[in-house]
Amino acid sequence: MKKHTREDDLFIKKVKEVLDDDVESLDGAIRSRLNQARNKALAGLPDSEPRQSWPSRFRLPAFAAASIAVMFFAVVIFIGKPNQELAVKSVDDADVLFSDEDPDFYAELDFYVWLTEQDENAG
Amino acid sequence: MMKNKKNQLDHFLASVEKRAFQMTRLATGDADEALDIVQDSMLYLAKKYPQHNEAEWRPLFYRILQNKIKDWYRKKKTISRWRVWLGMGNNNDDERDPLDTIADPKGITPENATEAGTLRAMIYNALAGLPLRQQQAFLLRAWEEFDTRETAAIMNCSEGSVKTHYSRAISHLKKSLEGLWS
Repeated sequence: MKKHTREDDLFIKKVKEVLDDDVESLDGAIRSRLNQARNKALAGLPDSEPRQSWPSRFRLPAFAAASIAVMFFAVVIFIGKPNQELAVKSVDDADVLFSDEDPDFYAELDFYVWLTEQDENAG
Repeated sequence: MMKNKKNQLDHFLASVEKRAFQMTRLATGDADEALDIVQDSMLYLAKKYPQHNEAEWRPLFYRILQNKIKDWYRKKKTISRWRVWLGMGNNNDDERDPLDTIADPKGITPENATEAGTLRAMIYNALAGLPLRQQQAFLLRAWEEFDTRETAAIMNCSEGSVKTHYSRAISHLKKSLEGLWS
């Protein structure tokens, strides 16, 4: 590509002057229609932003915090549940350990439960 | 959208609409078609990019405008092909000289101006006679003063293509207007 010469620059300047002059002297009908076109384009836009309780810059962090909280509670509920059962078992184990009963009693616990039920039914 | 932003967009569109119209009329050779294209471009910008700032609106608007001009050309070419295929011939009335529709506030018609051999009419003839891509490159680079990178983004082509189109446009224009000044 050739580099611009001074002649090119003068030529471009002249063309620009002609185009600029014509833009400034557009007739009234064209100006009026352009004005209408612009108003039509802007008509669809609201004058003011819809009311928001939270400014937009706080919305994303708030949403992220809420999501994290929900996930945390989900984890506590679903993963925490077996732990609770384990804790109950641990209490049972502790009862056995610290009880004065004979350990054989606990080994035969099912039998004693059945026996008690039989006695109650008989009574 | 805040009222201030709407005012900014109004101000921006008012600042480019006349030049956009002139550019489009040169490309289409028809004032009504040019008005429709400029209006569609304004609507598109307002609908899709109202939250952008003024510095971004300008290249965006011209890109939309150039795309709409290209669409208009494609549509026109398709209609023309169908007319030929259906045996209706090519309607040469559609290929009017853009000068036919250029209004002159002083009451001088383009025809009179051409007859009078005015520089203005000859410049318009030369610009209107350029291939579309060369015309776009020339008007965006020389008149709108976008740099090569911006022009390439607006025209959706490479910077090399812009340089080629621009250089060829200047050569064609100088050839068409040879001897008018030196």
